[in-house]
Amino acid sequence: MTEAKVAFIPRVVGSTRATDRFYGLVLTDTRALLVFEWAFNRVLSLAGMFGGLACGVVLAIVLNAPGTTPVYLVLGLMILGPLVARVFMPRNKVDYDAMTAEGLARLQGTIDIPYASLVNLSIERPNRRVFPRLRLERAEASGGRTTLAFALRPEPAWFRARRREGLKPTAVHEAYAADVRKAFTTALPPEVASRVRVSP
Amino acid sequence: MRSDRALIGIAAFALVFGLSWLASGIAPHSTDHNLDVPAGDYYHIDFAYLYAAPVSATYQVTAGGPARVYLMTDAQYSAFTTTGTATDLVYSNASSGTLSADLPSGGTYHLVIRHEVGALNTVLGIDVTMNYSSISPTNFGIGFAGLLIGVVLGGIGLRRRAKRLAQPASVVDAAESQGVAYFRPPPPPGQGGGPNG
Repeated sequence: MTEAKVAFIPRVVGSTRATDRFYGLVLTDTRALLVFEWAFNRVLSLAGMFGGLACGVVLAIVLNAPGTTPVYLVLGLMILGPLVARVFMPRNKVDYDAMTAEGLARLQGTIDIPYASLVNLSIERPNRRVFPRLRLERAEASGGRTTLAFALRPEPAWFRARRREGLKPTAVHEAYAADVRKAFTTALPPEVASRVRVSP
Repeated sequence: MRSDRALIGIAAFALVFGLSWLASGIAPHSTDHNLDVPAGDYYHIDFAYLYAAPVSATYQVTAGGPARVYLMTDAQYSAFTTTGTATDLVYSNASSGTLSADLPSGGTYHLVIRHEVGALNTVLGIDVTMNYSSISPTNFGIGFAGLLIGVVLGGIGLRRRAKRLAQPASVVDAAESQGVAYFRPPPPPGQGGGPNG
């Protein structure tokens, strides 16, 4: 019997000091797959901005542009620089509909968490955090435990739609956390659901 | 971010960038120059037009006595730099004044500022304001290129968007409208499967 894909949670973000790694979370009937989509590199983005600034200054001098044009030129290239830098950031093109769970698991950068190894699971919005946090604690083969933490950033279009309905941002994020919790309780097999606490 | 959205965003930026350069290339404008011409030397301001148009330059000497101000064609300027003999379209010799000319055709022109014959060994301080009312080829060219890039990228982006929207809704599209999306259960064996979402 093939592994069934159950739910998809977009924009699950793991952050370090220099990068934000964006994953799409696919819940199957046997495991959670954090599929790597792209990584935003802050250092590269800043380099792009300063590169744009330098190019703008050089171009403004070379072209001897009149009036306020050099200001627009420099500002424009400062905006364009980080966009160009994005081209050089690692990225996976993922077709979640066409690819099987096995195929998604084989993609470079995918984090595979079988439910059998899942010890604890929490989805909550700590104070002073904008986005809800997903924490997955899993048991390692070596006997230790590893906790993975991610921010759950809802799709901007979905977020805007909820805001237009009159919900406050905190309420929208709470509702999103509840939806993700529901997705986990739907996907987790009963024997795992009884063992793993989906908190709060 | 979807590639069609990124393309449309970059295209919008290129269009705004191109339009602003095009506007600066087409609109009449003026530039100010505060110059110090070293003793025994001269100063030149170069400008280019796409077609025949009026131009004027207002000057005010701030130090070093009267100035000799020439408006030259490119050929006249080349001859001046080679032989040192100045010929001109318009000439003014005073401590302040205005030169005006209807340029005969598009091309590169030069405003040359020199010391008065009797004051070659002094530094000449002079403020010049140039008033242009024709198309600047450089700004026009950059603006046009920006617009062209914007239109091409925008066209590609809109085409990709139309192609994406024509496809059956994917689970990623469903997540945009529902937040969390669910895959459709696989069809029973023997039946064709539709898209997930």
